[in-house]
Amino acid sequence: MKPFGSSIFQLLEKHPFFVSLSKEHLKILAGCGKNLHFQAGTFLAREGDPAAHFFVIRKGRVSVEIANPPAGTIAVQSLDESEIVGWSWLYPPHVWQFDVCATQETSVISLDGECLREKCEQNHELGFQLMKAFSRIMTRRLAATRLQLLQVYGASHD
Amino acid sequence: MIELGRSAAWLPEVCVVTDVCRENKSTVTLELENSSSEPHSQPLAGQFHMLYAFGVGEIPVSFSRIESDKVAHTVREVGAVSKAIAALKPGASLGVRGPFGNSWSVSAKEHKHIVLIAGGLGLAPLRPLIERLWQESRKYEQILLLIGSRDPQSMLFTDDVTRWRTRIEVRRSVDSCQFRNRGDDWNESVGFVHTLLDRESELSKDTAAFICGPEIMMRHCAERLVELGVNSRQISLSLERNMKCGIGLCGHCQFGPDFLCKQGPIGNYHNLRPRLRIREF
Amino acid sequence: MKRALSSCVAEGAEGLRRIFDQVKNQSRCVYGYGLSHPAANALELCELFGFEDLPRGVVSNYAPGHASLEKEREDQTCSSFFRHTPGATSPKSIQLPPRRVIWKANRTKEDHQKFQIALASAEQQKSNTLQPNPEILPVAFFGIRSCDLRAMHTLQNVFDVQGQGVPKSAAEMPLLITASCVEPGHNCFCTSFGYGPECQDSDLNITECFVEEEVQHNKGSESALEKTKCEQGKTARKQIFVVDAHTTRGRPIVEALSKDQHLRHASQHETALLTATLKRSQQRLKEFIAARVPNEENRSKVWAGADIAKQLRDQARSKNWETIAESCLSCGNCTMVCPTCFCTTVEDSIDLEAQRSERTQVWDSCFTAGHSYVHGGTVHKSTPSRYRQWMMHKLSSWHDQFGESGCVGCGRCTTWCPVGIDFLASAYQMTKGVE
Repeated sequence: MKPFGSSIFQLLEKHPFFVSLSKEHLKILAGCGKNLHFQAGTFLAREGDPAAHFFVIRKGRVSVEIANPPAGTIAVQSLDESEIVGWSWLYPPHVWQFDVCATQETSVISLDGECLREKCEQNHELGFQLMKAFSRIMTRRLAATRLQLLQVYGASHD
Repeated sequence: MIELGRSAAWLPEVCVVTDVCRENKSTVTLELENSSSEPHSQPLAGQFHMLYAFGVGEIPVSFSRIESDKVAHTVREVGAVSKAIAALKPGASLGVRGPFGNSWSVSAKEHKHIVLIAGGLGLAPLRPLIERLWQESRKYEQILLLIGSRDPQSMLFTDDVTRWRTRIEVRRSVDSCQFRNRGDDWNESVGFVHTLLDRESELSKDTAAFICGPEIMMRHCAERLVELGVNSRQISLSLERNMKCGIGLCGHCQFGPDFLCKQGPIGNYHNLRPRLRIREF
Repeated sequence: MKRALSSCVAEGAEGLRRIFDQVKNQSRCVYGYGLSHPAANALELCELFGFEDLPRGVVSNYAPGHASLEKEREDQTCSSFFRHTPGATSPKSIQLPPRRVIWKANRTKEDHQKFQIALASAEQQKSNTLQPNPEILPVAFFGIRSCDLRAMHTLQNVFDVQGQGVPKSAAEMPLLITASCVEPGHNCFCTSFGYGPECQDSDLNITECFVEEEVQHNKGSESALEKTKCEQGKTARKQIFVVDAHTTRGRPIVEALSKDQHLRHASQHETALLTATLKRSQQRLKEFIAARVPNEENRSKVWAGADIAKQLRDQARSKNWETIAESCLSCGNCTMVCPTCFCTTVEDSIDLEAQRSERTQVWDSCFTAGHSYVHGGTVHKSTPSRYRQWMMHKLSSWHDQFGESGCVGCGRCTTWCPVGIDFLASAYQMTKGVE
């Protein structure tokens, strides 16, 4: 693992996704976090596995994808630096719905969802703030996915 | 008092196709000699020509390249006229009227940050502007080009993109990406083109944005830019309606008070937004 | 309303014939409303080869979705000339021909990839009638109405604003002889735009009036004047034409006719009659408009200025468009008969050997699917969206584009709408309640 200049707390504090969280909450979050590093082609998550984590990308790019035999694999979304990966940890049945693969060398902060779930049950304010933050990216990604499905550029041109 | 329109404005000039380049299965770029000798009649980035295929008809096509001695038009085969034009060989005649319409307007004095967003064939009308910005890139603090396409095979002007990347930041995204072996044809982004802005938390207030693509795509990209702090008056869109005469007389390209062949095709989002929100307008 | 200081009077049909002949003599050709053929039951704007081509004794009966003509009476001595309102076609068909070949293209014999294009001749363009003419003789319009003149200006303004008008010398301008609408149609609403029923912008305006007089049983002394009376019980009807020249082109016509005693100054009695005739017409127009725009305040507010432009713009997303266009067939009749609608499309035709092609410009309508076609489909798919385009262009966008209204209040769109959609009532419905 590469050494990082800033602590996880400092990184989370600067991140726009966590902007509505208080210092107290951020401390809890940072306590559940660790830095991870993925080589290109390695998986951050696999469809069907228990969803115990979510990730904040510090560097690199991941692909959210799904196997579509026999045609191959369909990439449905790519996520880059500073974006959030995964919300399955927060909602039952806490199982990954898609594969997540690093398409480049990727560094992330991995946050322990199992630990956070319990903390959210105990601390509803923390839970509410996290729910709000995740709802925001969920609605945005849902809207983007709808547009993505429209084939606005017309039929295939290959 | 009384008179019908001058007939000469309806008369195409016959030009010779000097080169034809197939961009992908359904898209072709035709090169023509730049016949306008006078500086004031030089085509501008964002303007369009009416191209006439013998006996078939006429369609509006914007300039995808403007050089002192030649211009290019990139045509997608969708209807009878575009198919006939795309089938032309070097040496063939092509009827040309124009240039018509207004142009992309950018000034390094007013704007240090530039965002260009192209969707599908919308990259073609932006290309002359991108080329200019590429040449003058030193005058700007940041130039960001976002390109959206249906799939990796439909990506246009890939050689140009490689060259542009030497001076400006280019992010590309496809809506649909299916592969057998990872990285076979695509190792860039996947998702609707405006998600390429998701990694930005804010854009500079002096940003000028230029968007060209399908209307849905332009609306959503423009809204995203506004959300990121860009002034809606500094967001230019290139709209498409039924341009037919090019001189504001046939009435087909009306978009409320505008004849898009004259007052358009480019307008600023601040003015266009109310009308873009009216269905079937 | 200020009247010309000295109106002149021509008596009876004979008097009108003198005026017509004077105009005919100094014009290349004369256009006016006539019956396309004797059995036709419709008026159209056509060439009038002689005085007999004027639709004498023809009265129009127009209602929303209804147009018919009636014979006034058998009596030929005193039948009216101008008690009808304009027909379906208007001077637009002369200004902007419904169909004209613009240019022709030919493939090069030696190289089939190549072709040439040349403008069609004036003859082929069939639009030479209003082109500047080396003989300088202008064309003339005879008996057209104030709404026609307003429409001609409106249409010309479109070409001028778009930089496509062809400059002409004063002598080449058409000679405009208008007639007052003494019997306005049920669908007319020119006065809500602040003009009509007489015309004060033409070279010469004619108002047809009828004088009821006691019949004098004085056999043996039938003067020329007596012949212009027709007996009706104990009173006789005398037909006079009050003539007002407004321009330096109109005045010489009056002078020439006065010199030959075919015109004389109007008497006090006749001037009063003229005023009464026009007042009666105005009153009728007021009643017709009030039947469709019930709110007096709205009537003046909506139509007087450009505020209707904004009101309609604000209603662009209104549900009311669907109500108004509910019965609309999207047939495009309204746009065809509209004297200011200028949309045209082009047709490219090619011969069987694929050697020769020509481009024809034809009138188009915003009610067609092709009008708003872009690759992939039609923008205005539904009928309400097309109706909105039509009405908003006339009453709203036109102000932005050309600085005036695109509607002149002639009512043709209402008359020739097959389902009788009333344009004025619809516009009122769209704007009522809007502050």
